[in-house]
Amino acid sequence: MSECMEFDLRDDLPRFALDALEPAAAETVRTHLAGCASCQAELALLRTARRLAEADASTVDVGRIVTAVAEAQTRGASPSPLRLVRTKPRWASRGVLAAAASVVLMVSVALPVWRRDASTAAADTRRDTAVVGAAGNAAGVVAVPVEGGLESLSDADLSALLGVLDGLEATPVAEPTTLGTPIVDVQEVP
Amino acid sequence: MGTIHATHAPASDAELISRWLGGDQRAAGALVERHAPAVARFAASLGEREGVEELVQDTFVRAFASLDGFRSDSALRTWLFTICKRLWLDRRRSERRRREDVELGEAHAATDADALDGLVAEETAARIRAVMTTLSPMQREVFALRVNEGMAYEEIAQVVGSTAGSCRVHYHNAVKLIRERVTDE
Repeated sequence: MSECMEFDLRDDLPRFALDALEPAAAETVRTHLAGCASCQAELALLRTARRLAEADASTVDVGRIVTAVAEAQTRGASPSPLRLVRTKPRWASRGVLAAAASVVLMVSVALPVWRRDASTAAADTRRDTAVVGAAGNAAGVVAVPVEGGLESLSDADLSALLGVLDGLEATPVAEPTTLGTPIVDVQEVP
Repeated sequence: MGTIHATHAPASDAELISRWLGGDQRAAGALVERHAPAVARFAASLGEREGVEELVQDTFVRAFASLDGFRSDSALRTWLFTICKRLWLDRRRSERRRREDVELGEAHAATDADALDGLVAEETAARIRAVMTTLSPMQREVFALRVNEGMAYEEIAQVVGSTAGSCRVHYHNAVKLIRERVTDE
């Protein structure tokens, strides 16, 4: 069976199958179909495909969706109540936390102070300790070990570090040398 | 004296949206009932299987959360399809594993064919089902929107992120491939 080259008419077949054509256009299709075996076969195929799609969607309980959507609106929640899109918040990944910590360090504390002792062992054996004080309050000093860099921190340590950094003033008032407590203190790993 | 007959034409989408924005919760239900089957068909055409209902539900929850920003210059259903597709893509990314709708390989086709037995007991239908899985995702989406929903190419283009002309080509290529492959099998 040769393929029908009446593409404009074939464009109308899906809507003809759905009874969605204007009467005049539907009559044109009907007339063509009477003499075109190719389009008859195509129409049958389209109807079957549509029936399959309806079978696929038949398992959906519209009433349940209505109820769930109404409940979501009541809660004022935009995320899915079924949590299917994402099971874990994107921000919770260690990489993102580490990146966030890096940004906060740069923005909140200006440039990190990084003291390197050229005469000592390699950098990866060095134990760095970030000593962060809340607005220069010595009583509030918290030490977070950052041995191996931020990537090596546990989630708990990163959260603690972020929490401490949140308490800092957004703009440093002076160079680190004027602070009572060093922002970052580098210590050697024993 | 003539008699006045009240007619109860179904409310349009715009009317229902307006009522919902005015606090009428039943209008939301009416919109869901009207469009959920089509969104479900579209979700299935994307390759979604077990999660169709959840995806449809997600689509409506997301849509109602931003319905006040919906611009009525496009059809509500087209907009819902767009949301549905975005959610489905997001879901695929977040799962980080290949899903059967991407592979749509022979194993999946066989499973579908098995499941199909109880639904459509026709050999030709089973063949069409299997062949549909061999189409490219773009061909499948365009074909589904055209055949299942009767959408214009311009509307389809909005959903799949292409042009009307390109969608027309995809549609006819899909039909050609299905016909050839159904005949070959």
